[in-house]
Amino acid sequence: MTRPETGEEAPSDLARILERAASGDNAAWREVVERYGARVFAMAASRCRDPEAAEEVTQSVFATVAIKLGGGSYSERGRFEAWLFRVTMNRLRDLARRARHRPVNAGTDGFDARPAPEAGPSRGVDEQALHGLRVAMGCLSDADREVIELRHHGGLSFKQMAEVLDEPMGTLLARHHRALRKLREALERSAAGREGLAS
Amino acid sequence: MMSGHPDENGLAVPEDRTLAALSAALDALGERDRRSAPAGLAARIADATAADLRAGASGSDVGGLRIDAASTAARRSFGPTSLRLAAAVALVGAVGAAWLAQRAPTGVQSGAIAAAVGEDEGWSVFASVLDGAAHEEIGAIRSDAASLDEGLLNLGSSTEGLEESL
Repeated sequence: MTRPETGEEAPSDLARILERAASGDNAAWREVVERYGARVFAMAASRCRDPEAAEEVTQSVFATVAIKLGGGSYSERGRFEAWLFRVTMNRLRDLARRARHRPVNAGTDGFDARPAPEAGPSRGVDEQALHGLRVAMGCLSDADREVIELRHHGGLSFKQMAEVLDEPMGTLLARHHRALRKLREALERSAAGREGLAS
Repeated sequence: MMSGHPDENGLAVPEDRTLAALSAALDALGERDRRSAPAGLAARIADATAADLRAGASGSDVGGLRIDAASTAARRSFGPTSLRLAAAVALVGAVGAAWLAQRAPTGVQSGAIAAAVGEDEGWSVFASVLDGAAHEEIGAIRSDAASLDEGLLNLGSSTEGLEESL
């Protein structure tokens, strides 16, 4: 399965790009956004289930990063990715708090209703299964969902997740395992529900 | 319970086969969402936020505060309709209470309610603030108060007459 490249692979390269971006180099800034934009978008998309809202969240995250970076507030050298995804996580938490006041119809979200020609089929897993998985993720608590989204949508390693969530790596491994089990239970329940309806 | 073992990237792969399959499916879902990012997303966002980068460079504290202020303003924004309604009711209640507080002393005083009402400076303040139907309603209340005062005076004189007759 394809995993996004992480910033851990070339920290010195990233540090140079960030330095140039911080000094107001637009090309360097665009490179930063191109490198991480899709991953931040995927996390927002998983939570918002609306492409436009996901893009707004993504832009909001990069606006925060730009201001901090330009102002020299970013001081966690070598940990940019963890910092970026912490900002993303905080935005998504705000979004989740606000979303509690308005119900979401799991069957009509923007992602599954629209065609996704640019996305294309994901290898080895059919679209219906992915839709079922997305719906089942809605059964998870925010904390469980955070772990799943950081890992599978953001493509973070457990070490990076430990930095983002400020928890020991062993704890996160256990939390991830527990979230997977809950997800499996949710999928089994929905499958049992479908069979019950069919019979 | 052992939750998994690290793969070649230092990541963890669950040992349970069904969980490993689920983890792979989640990877596919994540990949799908990453690939579903709209065309030109990065360019649009980079262009839209380039000004933020320069704003941050022109003054770090100012930049940071600007974001905080924006988010604080969003949190402070007057939210649900029920809150607005409650605030409106509270406001009306406060105005009513102020009106009653201003009216009470003249109400318990003796006889000349109508005269007191006419001379009360508070009325002119209220009248200048309120208009239309509210103004008319206040006028009606004033005339009711005057007739009540007159009624009380008549009642007093008739009682005197009764005592005399007894």
